[in-house]
Amino acid sequence: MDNAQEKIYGAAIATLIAILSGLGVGSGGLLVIWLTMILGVDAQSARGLNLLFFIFSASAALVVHALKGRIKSGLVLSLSLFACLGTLLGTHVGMHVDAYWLKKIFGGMLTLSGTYALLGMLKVRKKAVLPAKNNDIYIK
Amino acid sequence: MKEKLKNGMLALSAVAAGVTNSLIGAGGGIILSFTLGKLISDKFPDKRNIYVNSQAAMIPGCALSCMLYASRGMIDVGGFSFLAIPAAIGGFIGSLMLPKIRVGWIKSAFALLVVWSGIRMLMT
Repeated sequence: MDNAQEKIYGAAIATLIAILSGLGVGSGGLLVIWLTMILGVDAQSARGLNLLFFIFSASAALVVHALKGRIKSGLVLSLSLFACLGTLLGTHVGMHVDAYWLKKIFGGMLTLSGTYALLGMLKVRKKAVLPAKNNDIYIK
Repeated sequence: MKEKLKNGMLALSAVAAGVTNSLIGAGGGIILSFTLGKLISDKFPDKRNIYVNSQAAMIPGCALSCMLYASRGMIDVGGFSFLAIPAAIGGFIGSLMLPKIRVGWIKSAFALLVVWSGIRMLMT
Protein backbone atom coordinates (compact mmCIF):
# COMPACT_ATOMS: atom_id res chain seq x y z
CA MET A 1 0.00 0.00 0.00
CA ASP A 2 1.66 3.15 -1.18
CA ASN A 3 -0.59 6.16 -0.93
CA ALA A 4 -2.35 7.61 2.12
CA GLN A 5 -5.85 6.95 0.79
CA GLU A 6 -5.14 3.26 0.36
CA LYS A 7 -3.69 3.09 3.86
CA ILE A 8 -6.79 4.72 5.39
CA TYR A 9 -9.01 2.31 3.46
CA GLY A 10 -6.78 -0.58 4.56
CA ALA A 11 -6.88 0.52 8.20
CA ALA A 12 -10.71 0.69 8.12
CA ILE A 13 -10.97 -2.83 6.64
CA ALA A 14 -8.41 -4.12 9.18
CA THR A 15 -10.41 -2.62 12.09
CA LEU A 16 -13.59 -4.29 10.81
CA ILE A 17 -11.81 -7.63 10.42
CA ALA A 18 -10.39 -7.37 13.95
CA ILE A 19 -13.86 -6.59 15.37
CA LEU A 20 -15.32 -9.60 13.53
CA SER A 21 -12.47 -11.82 14.72
CA GLY A 22 -13.10 -10.63 18.28
CA LEU A 23 -16.72 -11.73 17.84
CA GLY A 24 -15.68 -15.16 16.59
CA VAL A 25 -16.66 -14.48 12.98
CA GLY A 26 -14.60 -15.46 9.95
CA SER A 27 -12.57 -18.45 11.08
CA GLY A 28 -9.48 -16.31 11.65
CA GLY A 29 -8.69 -16.18 7.96
CA LEU A 30 -10.51 -13.03 6.86
CA LEU A 31 -7.32 -10.96 6.83
CA VAL A 32 -5.53 -13.56 4.70
CA ILE A 33 -8.47 -13.60 2.27
CA TRP A 34 -8.36 -9.81 2.00
CA LEU A 35 -4.57 -9.69 1.64
CA THR A 36 -4.27 -12.48 -0.93
CA MET A 37 -7.46 -12.15 -2.96
CA ILE A 38 -8.03 -8.39 -2.91
CA LEU A 39 -4.56 -6.89 -2.45
CA GLY A 40 -2.66 -9.67 -4.26
CA VAL A 41 -0.17 -10.25 -1.43
CA ASP A 42 1.62 -13.63 -1.72
CA ALA A 43 0.69 -16.40 0.72
CA GLN A 44 3.98 -16.31 2.66
CA SER A 45 3.76 -12.58 3.37
CA ALA A 46 0.04 -12.89 4.20
CA ARG A 47 0.84 -15.63 6.72
CA GLY A 48 3.34 -13.39 8.53
CA LEU A 49 1.03 -10.37 8.48
CA ASN A 50 -1.88 -12.45 9.78
CA LEU A 51 0.23 -13.79 12.67
CA LEU A 52 1.27 -10.25 13.65
CA PHE A 53 -2.30 -9.01 13.23
CA PHE A 54 -3.58 -11.78 15.49
CA ILE A 55 -1.07 -10.95 18.25
CA PHE A 56 -2.27 -7.33 18.37
CA SER A 57 -6.01 -8.00 18.08
CA ALA A 58 -6.09 -11.02 20.40
CA SER A 59 -3.88 -9.35 23.02
CA ALA A 60 -6.13 -6.28 23.12
CA ALA A 61 -9.16 -8.58 23.45
CA LEU A 62 -7.39 -10.67 26.10
CA VAL A 63 -7.13 -7.65 28.42
CA VAL A 64 -10.92 -7.21 28.37
CA HIS A 65 -11.64 -10.95 28.66
CA ALA A 66 -9.21 -11.31 31.59
CA LEU A 67 -10.76 -8.35 33.42
CA LYS A 68 -14.23 -9.86 32.93
CA GLY A 69 -13.02 -13.20 34.34
CA ARG A 70 -13.56 -15.16 31.12
CA ILE A 71 -10.03 -16.64 31.02
CA LYS A 72 -9.19 -19.98 32.66
CA SER A 73 -5.53 -19.18 33.21
CA GLY A 74 -4.35 -22.70 34.12
CA LEU A 75 -5.94 -24.21 31.04
CA VAL A 76 -4.72 -21.43 28.76
CA LEU A 77 -1.15 -21.69 30.07
CA SER A 78 -0.92 -25.45 29.59
CA LEU A 79 -2.51 -25.27 26.12
CA SER A 80 -0.09 -22.45 25.19
CA LEU A 81 2.86 -24.58 26.17
CA PHE A 82 1.80 -27.43 23.87
CA ALA A 83 0.85 -24.97 21.14
CA CYS A 84 4.40 -23.53 21.33
CA LEU A 85 5.81 -27.03 20.78
CA GLY A 86 3.61 -27.36 17.70
CA THR A 87 4.69 -23.88 16.61
CA LEU A 88 8.37 -24.90 16.60
CA LEU A 89 7.52 -27.83 14.34
CA GLY A 90 5.13 -25.87 12.11
CA THR A 91 7.50 -22.93 11.66
CA HIS A 92 10.35 -25.27 10.74
CA VAL A 93 8.17 -26.92 8.08
CA GLY A 94 6.72 -23.54 7.03
CA MET A 95 10.16 -22.17 6.17
CA HIS A 96 10.51 -24.81 3.47
CA VAL A 97 7.00 -24.72 1.96
CA ASP A 98 6.71 -22.44 -1.08
CA ALA A 99 3.93 -19.87 -1.57
CA TYR A 100 2.02 -22.04 -4.10
CA TRP A 101 1.55 -24.96 -1.69
CA LEU A 102 0.92 -22.64 1.21
CA LYS A 103 -1.98 -21.15 -0.73
CA LYS A 104 -3.38 -24.63 -1.44
CA ILE A 105 -3.09 -25.72 2.21
CA PHE A 106 -4.72 -22.48 3.31
CA GLY A 107 -7.50 -22.93 0.72
CA GLY A 108 -8.15 -26.44 2.02
CA MET A 109 -8.22 -25.23 5.62
CA LEU A 110 -10.66 -22.42 4.74
CA THR A 111 -12.98 -24.80 2.87
CA LEU A 112 -13.00 -27.27 5.77
CA SER A 113 -13.43 -24.71 8.55
CA GLY A 114 -16.11 -22.77 6.63
CA THR A 115 -18.05 -25.96 5.89
CA TYR A 116 -17.75 -27.02 9.53
CA ALA A 117 -19.05 -23.62 10.66
CA LEU A 118 -21.99 -23.79 8.22
CA LEU A 119 -22.91 -27.33 9.29
CA GLY A 120 -22.74 -26.29 12.96
CA MET A 121 -25.11 -23.41 12.32
CA LEU A 122 -27.54 -25.65 10.40
CA LYS A 123 -27.54 -28.05 13.36
CA VAL A 124 -28.38 -25.24 15.78
CA ARG A 125 -31.23 -24.04 13.53
CA LYS A 126 -32.65 -27.57 13.20
CA LYS A 127 -32.65 -27.94 16.99
CA ALA A 128 -34.47 -24.63 17.32
CA VAL A 129 -37.15 -25.60 14.74
CA LEU A 130 -37.81 -29.22 15.79
CA PRO A 131 -39.94 -29.78 18.92
CA ALA A 132 -38.32 -31.41 21.94
CA LYS A 133 -38.57 -35.23 22.10
CA ASN A 134 -40.54 -35.10 25.35
CA ASN A 135 -43.39 -33.37 23.49
CA ASP A 136 -44.08 -36.61 21.58
CA ILE A 137 -45.06 -38.36 24.82
CA TYR A 138 -47.24 -35.42 25.79
CA ILE A 139 -49.14 -35.52 22.45
CA LYS A 140 -49.83 -39.25 22.76
CA MET B 1 -14.01 -40.34 29.09
CA LYS B 2 -11.10 -40.76 31.50
CA GLU B 3 -9.48 -37.52 32.65
CA LYS B 4 -5.99 -38.55 31.53
CA LEU B 5 -7.17 -39.40 28.01
CA LYS B 6 -9.01 -36.09 27.79
CA ASN B 7 -5.90 -34.19 28.88
CA GLY B 8 -3.77 -36.11 26.38
CA MET B 9 -6.18 -35.27 23.57
CA LEU B 10 -6.23 -31.62 24.60
CA ALA B 11 -2.42 -31.53 24.57
CA LEU B 12 -2.32 -33.18 21.13
CA SER B 13 -4.87 -30.75 19.74
CA ALA B 14 -2.84 -27.83 21.12
CA VAL B 15 0.24 -29.17 19.31
CA ALA B 16 -1.83 -29.55 16.11
CA ALA B 17 -3.16 -26.01 16.56
CA GLY B 18 0.40 -24.70 16.93
CA VAL B 19 1.55 -26.53 13.79
CA THR B 20 -1.40 -25.27 11.72
CA ASN B 21 -1.18 -21.70 12.97
CA SER B 22 2.55 -21.39 12.32
CA LEU B 23 2.38 -23.19 8.97
CA ILE B 24 -0.45 -21.21 7.36
CA GLY B 25 -0.79 -18.25 9.73
CA ALA B 26 -4.32 -19.09 10.88
CA GLY B 27 -6.60 -21.93 11.93
CA GLY B 28 -5.10 -22.82 15.32
CA GLY B 29 -7.94 -21.21 17.24
CA ILE B 30 -10.53 -23.20 15.29
CA ILE B 31 -8.81 -26.49 16.13
CA LEU B 32 -8.61 -25.63 19.83
CA SER B 33 -12.21 -24.36 19.94
CA PHE B 34 -13.38 -27.60 18.34
CA THR B 35 -11.53 -29.83 20.84
CA LEU B 36 -12.42 -27.75 23.89
CA GLY B 37 -16.06 -27.80 22.76
CA LYS B 38 -16.03 -31.57 22.33
CA LEU B 39 -14.03 -32.53 25.43
CA ILE B 40 -14.62 -30.02 28.21
CA SER B 41 -17.58 -27.89 27.16
CA ASP B 42 -19.12 -28.57 30.59
CA LYS B 43 -16.41 -26.37 32.11
CA PHE B 44 -17.69 -23.40 30.10
CA PRO B 45 -21.20 -22.34 31.15
CA ASP B 46 -21.00 -19.57 28.54
CA LYS B 47 -20.00 -21.35 25.31
CA ARG B 48 -18.53 -18.15 23.83
CA ASN B 49 -15.72 -18.44 26.38
CA ILE B 50 -14.47 -21.57 24.59
CA TYR B 51 -13.50 -19.35 21.67
CA VAL B 52 -12.08 -16.68 24.01
CA ASN B 53 -9.80 -19.19 25.80
CA SER B 54 -8.71 -20.83 22.53
CA GLN B 55 -7.73 -17.44 21.17
CA ALA B 56 -5.77 -16.60 24.34
CA ALA B 57 -3.90 -19.92 24.19
CA MET B 58 -2.68 -19.19 20.66
CA ILE B 59 -1.04 -15.82 21.44
CA PRO B 60 2.36 -17.11 22.75
CA GLY B 61 2.67 -19.55 19.85
CA CYS B 62 1.94 -16.75 17.36
CA ALA B 63 4.57 -14.55 18.99
CA LEU B 64 7.12 -17.37 18.84
CA SER B 65 6.28 -18.08 15.21
CA CYS B 66 6.61 -14.38 14.31
CA MET B 67 10.03 -14.20 15.98
CA LEU B 68 11.24 -17.28 14.11
CA TYR B 69 9.95 -16.07 10.72
CA ALA B 70 11.26 -12.54 11.34
CA SER B 71 14.71 -13.90 12.22
CA ARG B 72 14.79 -15.41 8.70
CA GLY B 73 13.51 -12.19 7.12
CA MET B 74 10.21 -13.85 6.17
CA ILE B 75 7.94 -11.19 7.73
CA ASP B 76 7.61 -7.66 6.42
CA VAL B 77 7.26 -5.91 9.78
CA GLY B 78 7.37 -2.47 8.09
CA GLY B 79 4.42 -3.43 5.89
CA PHE B 80 2.43 -4.28 9.01
CA SER B 81 2.81 -0.92 10.76
CA PHE B 82 -0.43 0.51 9.31
CA LEU B 83 -2.39 -2.57 10.48
CA ALA B 84 -1.14 -2.69 14.10
CA ILE B 85 -3.34 0.03 15.61
CA PRO B 86 -6.53 -1.03 13.73
CA ALA B 87 -5.88 -4.62 14.87
CA ALA B 88 -5.64 -3.60 18.54
CA ILE B 89 -8.62 -1.22 18.36
CA GLY B 90 -10.76 -3.77 16.51
CA GLY B 91 -9.83 -6.58 18.90
CA PHE B 92 -10.69 -4.38 21.87
CA ILE B 93 -14.08 -3.34 20.42
CA GLY B 94 -14.90 -6.93 19.41
CA SER B 95 -14.21 -8.22 22.92
CA LEU B 96 -16.52 -5.57 24.42
CA MET B 97 -19.27 -6.44 21.92
CA LEU B 98 -18.97 -10.22 22.30
CA PRO B 99 -21.44 -10.73 25.18
CA LYS B 100 -23.89 -8.15 23.85
CA ILE B 101 -24.69 -9.09 20.29
CA ARG B 102 -25.78 -12.21 18.46
CA VAL B 103 -23.84 -12.80 15.28
CA GLY B 104 -25.64 -15.84 13.83
CA TRP B 105 -26.47 -14.42 10.38
CA ILE B 106 -23.11 -12.60 10.08
CA LYS B 107 -21.37 -15.90 10.89
CA SER B 108 -23.38 -17.69 8.19
CA ALA B 109 -22.53 -15.02 5.59
CA PHE B 110 -18.83 -15.10 6.45
CA ALA B 111 -18.72 -18.90 6.57
CA LEU B 112 -20.03 -18.85 2.98
CA LEU B 113 -17.37 -16.28 2.03
CA VAL B 114 -14.69 -18.45 3.67
CA VAL B 115 -15.84 -21.58 1.78
CA TRP B 116 -15.97 -19.67 -1.51
CA SER B 117 -12.49 -18.17 -0.94
CA GLY B 118 -11.09 -21.57 0.06
CA ILE B 119 -12.40 -23.22 -3.11
CA ARG B 120 -11.04 -20.35 -5.23
CA MET B 121 -7.62 -20.73 -3.63
CA LEU B 122 -7.67 -24.45 -4.32
CA MET B 123 -8.76 -23.98 -7.95
CA THR B 124 -6.44 -21.16 -9.01
